Amino acid sequence: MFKYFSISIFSILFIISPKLNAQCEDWQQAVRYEMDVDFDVKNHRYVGIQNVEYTNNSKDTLKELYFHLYMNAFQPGSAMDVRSRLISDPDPRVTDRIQNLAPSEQGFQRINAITQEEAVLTYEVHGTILKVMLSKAALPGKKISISMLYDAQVPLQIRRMGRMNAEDIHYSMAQWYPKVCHYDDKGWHTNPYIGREFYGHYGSFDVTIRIDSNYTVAATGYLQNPGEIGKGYTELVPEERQTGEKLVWTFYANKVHDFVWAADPFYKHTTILTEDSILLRFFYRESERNMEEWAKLPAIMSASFAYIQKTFGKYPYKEYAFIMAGDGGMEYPMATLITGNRPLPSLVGVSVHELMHSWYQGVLGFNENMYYWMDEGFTSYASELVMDFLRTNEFLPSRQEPIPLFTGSYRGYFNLVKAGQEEPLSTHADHFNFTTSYGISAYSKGAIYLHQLGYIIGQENLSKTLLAFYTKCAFKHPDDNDLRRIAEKISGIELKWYNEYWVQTTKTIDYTLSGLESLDTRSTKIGIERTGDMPMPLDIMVTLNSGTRVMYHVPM
Amino acid sequence: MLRPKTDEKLSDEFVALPALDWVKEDWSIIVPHAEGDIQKVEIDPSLRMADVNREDNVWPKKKPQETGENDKQ
Ligand SMILES: [Zn+2]
Repeated sequence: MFKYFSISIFSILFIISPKLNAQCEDWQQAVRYEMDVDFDVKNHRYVGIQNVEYTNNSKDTLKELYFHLYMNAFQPGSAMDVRSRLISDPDPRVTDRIQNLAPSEQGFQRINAITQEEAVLTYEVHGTILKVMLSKAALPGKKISISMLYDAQVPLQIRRMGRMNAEDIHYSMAQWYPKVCHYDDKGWHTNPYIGREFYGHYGSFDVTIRIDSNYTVAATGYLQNPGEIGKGYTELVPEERQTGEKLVWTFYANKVHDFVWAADPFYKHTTILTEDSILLRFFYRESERNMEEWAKLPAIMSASFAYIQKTFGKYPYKEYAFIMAGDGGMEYPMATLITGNRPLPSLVGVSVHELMHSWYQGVLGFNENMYYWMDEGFTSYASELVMDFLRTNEFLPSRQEPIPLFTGSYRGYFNLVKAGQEEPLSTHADHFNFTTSYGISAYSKGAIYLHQLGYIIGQENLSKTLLAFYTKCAFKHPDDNDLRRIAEKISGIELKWYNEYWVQTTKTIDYTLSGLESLDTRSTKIGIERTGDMPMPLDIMVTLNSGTRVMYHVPM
Repeated sequence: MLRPKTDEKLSDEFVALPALDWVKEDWSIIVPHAEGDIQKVEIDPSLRMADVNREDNVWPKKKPQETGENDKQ
C-alpha cells in the first residue's frame, strides 16, 4: 500500500528496528494466590482469608496495590447499575435490576484487615476497586506478600455470577475474590466493573473451599483431595456425611489468570477422556429437558478437542470443565459457566465458543478492555470453523440450506454500518455508546478481521499465523500489533495499513466494477472504482466462456 | 508493499498484477482476453472482503430479481 516506502528502506526497517522485532511483551507481573473460604449457604455469605505473593517484574517501584472487588457492583448506585440504567440499550440481564435489589439480595466484598509482614495496611475502597497502601514498596524485581481478611455476600444472579441463576443453580462463583488489578507498561488497569471485560496476571491459585457436604463443587484447576470428596472426582466412595457437615475442597491451578467455581446440591458429574488424554468434566442439573443433550455433549466436545488442537495449537492443561451455571456462556481458565437447558446445536455452540476462549483469552491473555475484539472475534472465528467441522463430520445436523462461513458476522457488521452506530475497534469496551455496537464490533467485526486477513495474506498464511501467534505469545498479553508482525513475517506482506483502517477507524470498503472495454481482439480493460474510504488489495475473478477461471490479484 | 499473496488455488490460473496505487478512485486492469470470451467478472468471489455493497462487484450486472439479499445496501 505505502508506495512511499521503497522495498529496500522497508526491508532495512524490518531487520534493524528493535521495536519491530519485539513480540508479545517484554515483562509481566506474577501473582500467587492462597485462599481459604468458609461458606455459609444459609445466608449466602462467606469469609475469606487470602494471601497474595506479588512479584513486581516492572522497572517501577509500586507503593500501592489495587484489587478488583467485583461483587460490589451489585449494589444500587454502583457504576454497573448507573451505566445500565443510562445506556439506551442495556444488557437485558441487567437493566434496572441492581437498583431493585434488597439488602439481603445485594452483593458485597467487605475488607476487614490487610497486613504486610505483620504491618497493618491502610486501604480505600472506591466501588469495585480496592487501593492498598503498602508499608514496604514493591521494588523492581522483588516479591511482596500481603494477607487480607474479608467477608462477602453473594448477590442474586444478575450478571455472570451470583446465587440462584435462571436455571436454579445455587452458586455461580465468578469474579468472587479480591483480584489484583493488572499492571503493565500502560500502568494500572483499575476500571470500575460495569459488566464487560477482564484482564489479569498469570499466576497460581491454591484455593480451599469449605461448604456444606451436600454441594458438589466444580472449579478451575485440579482437585487435590478427590479421595476425601468423591462426587464423581474419584470412583472411591468416601464415608457418608452428616447433614450440615462441611466438606473441605482444595483446588490448585497454575499458569491461569482467574479462578471460577460453582456449587449446586444437584449436579450430575460425568467425564470423558479425549484422544489426547485431556479429562473433560461435565457438571449439570439433569432434567427431562436437557438429559439427551448433555448425554451427547461429551463425545462431541471430545471430537472438537482433537480438531481444535490440530488447527489452533495444543491445550496446555490436563482438564477442562463444562459447568451448568451463570447467565449464558462465559469463559474462565480451564472451565466455563454455561446455561444448560438448550437444544443440542445451541448447547454445542456455546460449549465450543467458551472452550475456544481457552486459546483466545486463556492462553493468549488479551487485555479484554482494549482487545475485546481479539478475545471475542478470534473466538468467534475459530468457533465457526469448529462448528463447520462438527456439521461436516455429522456430529451435528447440517444446515438445511448451506450458507457461506461467516455470513452472520458480515451481516451483523453491514447492519451496524447501515445503522450509523459503528465506533472504531480501538474504543475501550466500556466506552461504547451502544451495547449493540460493542457486541457487533467485538464478535462480528473482530471475526471478520481474521477472515479478511486470510483474504489479504492467503488462508494458508493465516493458519500459520494463528498457530505461530499462539505458540509465541502463550501466557503473555499480546495485542493486535503482535499478531500483525507475525502475519507480516509469515506472508512477507506489510499490514500496518490494515490495522490502521480496520481497527482504528470506521472507514468502509466499497469497490465497484464500472465496466468492460474491448481494446482489441486479444485484450479487455476492466474498470474499477473505489467508492469506500478503506482501500484493499483485490481478487478479481474472470470466468471465460470456456469455463476457465482466472484470478487476477491486485496487491497494494 | 512487499509482495502479492501467493496462489490460494481458488481458480484455474492465478495472475499477480503490479501493486495498486490505492489513492486512485478510478483505475483499470487490462486482461489478455477478448471481451467476447468473458462470461463473468467478479471482485472477491470468496466473499471475504467486507465490501459494504457487494452487488456492484459482479459483471455483467445482476438482474434485479437475482439480487435483494437484505444484508446488502
Ligand atoms: Zn466469547
